[in-house]
Amino acid sequence: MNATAATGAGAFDALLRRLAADDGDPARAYERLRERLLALFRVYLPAESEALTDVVLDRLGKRAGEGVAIDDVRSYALGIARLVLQEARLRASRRHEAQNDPTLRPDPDDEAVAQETEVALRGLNACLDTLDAESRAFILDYYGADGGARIRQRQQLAQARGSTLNALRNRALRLRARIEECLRARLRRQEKS
Amino acid sequence: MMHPVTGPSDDTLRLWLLQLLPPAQAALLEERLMHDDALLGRLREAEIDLVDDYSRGELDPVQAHAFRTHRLVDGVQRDNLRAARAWASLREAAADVRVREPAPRETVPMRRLPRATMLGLAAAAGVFVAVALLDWSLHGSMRSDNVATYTLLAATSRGTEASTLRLPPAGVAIRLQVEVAEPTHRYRLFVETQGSRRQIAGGLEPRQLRAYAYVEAQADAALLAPGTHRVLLIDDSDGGEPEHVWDVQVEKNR
Repeated sequence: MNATAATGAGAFDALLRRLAADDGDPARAYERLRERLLALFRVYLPAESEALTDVVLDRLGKRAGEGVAIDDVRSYALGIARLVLQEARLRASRRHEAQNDPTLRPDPDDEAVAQETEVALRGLNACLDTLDAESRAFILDYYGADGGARIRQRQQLAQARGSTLNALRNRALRLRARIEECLRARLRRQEKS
Repeated sequence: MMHPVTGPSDDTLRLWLLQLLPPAQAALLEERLMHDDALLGRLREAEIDLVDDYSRGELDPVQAHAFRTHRLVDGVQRDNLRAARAWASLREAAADVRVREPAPRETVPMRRLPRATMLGLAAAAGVFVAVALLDWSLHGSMRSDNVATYTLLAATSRGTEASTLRLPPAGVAIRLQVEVAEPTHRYRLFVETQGSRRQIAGGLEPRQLRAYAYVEAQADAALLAPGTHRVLLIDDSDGGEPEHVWDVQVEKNR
């Protein structure tokens, strides 16, 4: 075992070297792997997704630094992720107390929700105004329907633009993430003032 | 519930997010997520659609309970719900919002507008733009080669009318700047003339300027002789299906 490579920056470098063997751009491969792990943990434990992802990448780097033969990095990472998930669930069940159960927390009353939504709506409109007209129209169309109509509407949008659903989705996700980042920043500023 | 080509249905993804899927099926999705780029985007979208539907009270009681138990568990998720409620309110007034004019902007000469604004205005107008002369600062010395740059925006791809591309009379090469949807993917660019497809460039890595992601490639002007052509953008990880297609009519400037 290589003690240096198995800890801290050494582990990270070892992981990058292992990723470089599969992909000429290890930094990009690392980011993609991180995205996948984040998505996985967001399914099961969204509140801890960032922290758990870091744990997996750290353990994966340590294995790579120890010289463990890793045939398929993504599958190996999934194996570690499942263990990490199991551990996290065990911890959660140990500290679980009724007062922390979100299902037992009273929902905010209608008036409070309405006020909160009104503030958020003003912020959302301001954030949408930072987009060009085409992007704003696009994002409103993309999220403008629900249920079966939602799928049909998105297909029609893709067809009208000579684009694929995938491409359209990626654009919508990027725009929505940008808008919601703007909205969160505005709401945080308002809460502070 | 798993489709061999397109992957899991939206309903399956929703059940997964709500942890209502049988463990064996969830395990299959976990494996797929580690290898399937498209699933990553679809899952993110399913998360957003789920919060949107919860905020509109459109989940059945079992799903609503699962949402509160498994999704609404921290400040970030509650922020997401607050945003989703705002989107829902906005949707109710969507007709008004769609016809609203953009926020007033300072009027400045076109040549001084930031490139992102230029592109936004171009997209709004649905036009094909040549931007080489408008803003040289973005890429600095890379632009000293005097190769004319033409920008292809997603908003002007097929489905709109063919765009006219006027090339300089003596040019031997042009640069195409092409908007892409996914900044972390790699792309190939092709030109198709009378059914014959030729690659302009491959392995193109996107650059990003705020919400605008694009790739650039230099094309031999001979590939775009006067006449009608089709320019195709293909995402390497998307099975060869073009992400965007542009019909262009090339004319020589006199």
